[in-house]
Amino acid sequence: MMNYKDFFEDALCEAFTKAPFSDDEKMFDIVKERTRIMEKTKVKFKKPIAVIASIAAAAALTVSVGAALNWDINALFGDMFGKKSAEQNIMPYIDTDSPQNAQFVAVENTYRNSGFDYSRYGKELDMSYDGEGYTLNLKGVMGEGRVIYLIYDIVFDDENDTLPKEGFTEWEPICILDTTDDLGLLLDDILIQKVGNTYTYCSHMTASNDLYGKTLTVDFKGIRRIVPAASVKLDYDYTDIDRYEADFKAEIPIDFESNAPSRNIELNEPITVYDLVNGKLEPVETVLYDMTITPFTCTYSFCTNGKVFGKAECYFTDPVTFTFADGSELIQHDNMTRTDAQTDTQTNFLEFDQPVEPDDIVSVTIDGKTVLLK
Amino acid sequence: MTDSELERYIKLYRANVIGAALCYVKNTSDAEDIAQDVFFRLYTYTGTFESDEHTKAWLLRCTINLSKSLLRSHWYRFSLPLEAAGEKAHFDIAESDGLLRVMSRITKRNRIALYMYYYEGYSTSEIAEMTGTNVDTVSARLSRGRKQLKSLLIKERRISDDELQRFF
Repeated sequence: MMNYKDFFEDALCEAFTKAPFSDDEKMFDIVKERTRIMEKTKVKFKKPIAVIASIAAAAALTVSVGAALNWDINALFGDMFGKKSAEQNIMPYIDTDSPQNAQFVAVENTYRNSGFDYSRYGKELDMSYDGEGYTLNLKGVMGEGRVIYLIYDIVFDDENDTLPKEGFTEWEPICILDTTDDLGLLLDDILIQKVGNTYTYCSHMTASNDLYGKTLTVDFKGIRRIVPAASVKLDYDYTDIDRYEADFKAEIPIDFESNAPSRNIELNEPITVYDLVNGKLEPVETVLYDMTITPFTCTYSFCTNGKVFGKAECYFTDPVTFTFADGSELIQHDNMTRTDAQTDTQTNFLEFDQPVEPDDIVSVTIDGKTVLLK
Repeated sequence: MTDSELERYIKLYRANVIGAALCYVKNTSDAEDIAQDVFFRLYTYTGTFESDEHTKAWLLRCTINLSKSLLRSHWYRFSLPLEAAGEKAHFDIAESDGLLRVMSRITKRNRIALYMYYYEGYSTSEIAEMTGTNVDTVSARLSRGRKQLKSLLIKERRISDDELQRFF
């Protein structure tokens, strides 16, 4: 088993070996000495300075529901699929010299569903919020079951706010938003397009449970301006330039059509999955027993024939290939893994890079085994 | 806090604090600085702790906050008079040729999630509270971190080409 605890222990052991830190006694002496100096000089520790703490107070905050919108839900959502968030895009920049790493990130799919009707799975929104120096416009929401996509614009009042600054040649804004409901959502923001001062984003949310019939409350807390992945390269985190405050909670009923086609397939297919053991991939024999395909997701489960998962265990599978009637293929790595500790079952959850019509899939290939569906 | 309590907590949790700091910074000197600052804050903290676990969680949360501050702030360099520090051993993690280097190349937010979950044994909800995010974000970071670790191990040639071909 890939034991992540051992991995960290070995890594940290190297640090402690190569650069011995202060031992307990020395650390104690240093802390005592610092305290003595502090008391003597009465110097207070600095606290981090909120860069734009005054902006919130000055912001003119209004929330409005305005006139009907004029945009194409299919065009915008169609542009969104296949794009990745800044966090996902950062992967290739970890090491630009590594073709293997690039190969891991990039998947060439021949399948395209340009005719997909997104309006069947969503609705337009007409909500806006005026902050200091910008406006947020919520334009539409779409999804099914556990995945929800929210399209919104950030429109800066002043073009100067969109210009490069502080030595960075480029940057992009990113909304700080969260959900206040206990829906168990994961948020990921994807920049769809930039036109002038307007940045259009899709907030991609994955929930733990079905969202139909519930009200999604999205809490916009502000806008950060970050250096995008392409400019980071040697650092592995984003760099905040500055931030705008926001105080806007949008209540969005998930009340649109709930009859997304779903295809459930019962299987009994032996497949090999992989565990990382001391940096080596070790095969583990399992049985794939269930797969459910919807327009946006695929969920599949396999069991290890009695071998119980521990807390730190997670098996990797080959990418899953979905083949369509026209011969085109959609190859997906698992996006999210749910392992139930103390059971012998693991469920992998894929979110498609392109929406699919489940009935159009003729076969699924995993671990070199092809299961014909029609 | 009394001297004996400080001494005890340093003995119990010094390595944990340094380990968490190393999830953020790129050299051992900064990790040492953060650890000193964390224990200094503990020593001058006037609140109370319900248990050792509570103290440990406080220390790690403090470590995370100070590490983030260090990364964002240029003025964070005054923390320790040199005469008190003595000779600090400095080691750039980038110079490592082992697993420390692999660890350092995991994206920071994924790295700290993996460290807190697998090494420190905290739950996703506890990590969410410590890092100021939500539970599903932590779960996603764990998932991404595992994948990233896998790809880094591949890149570092710890997995053979045959296995690589098989997997991709």
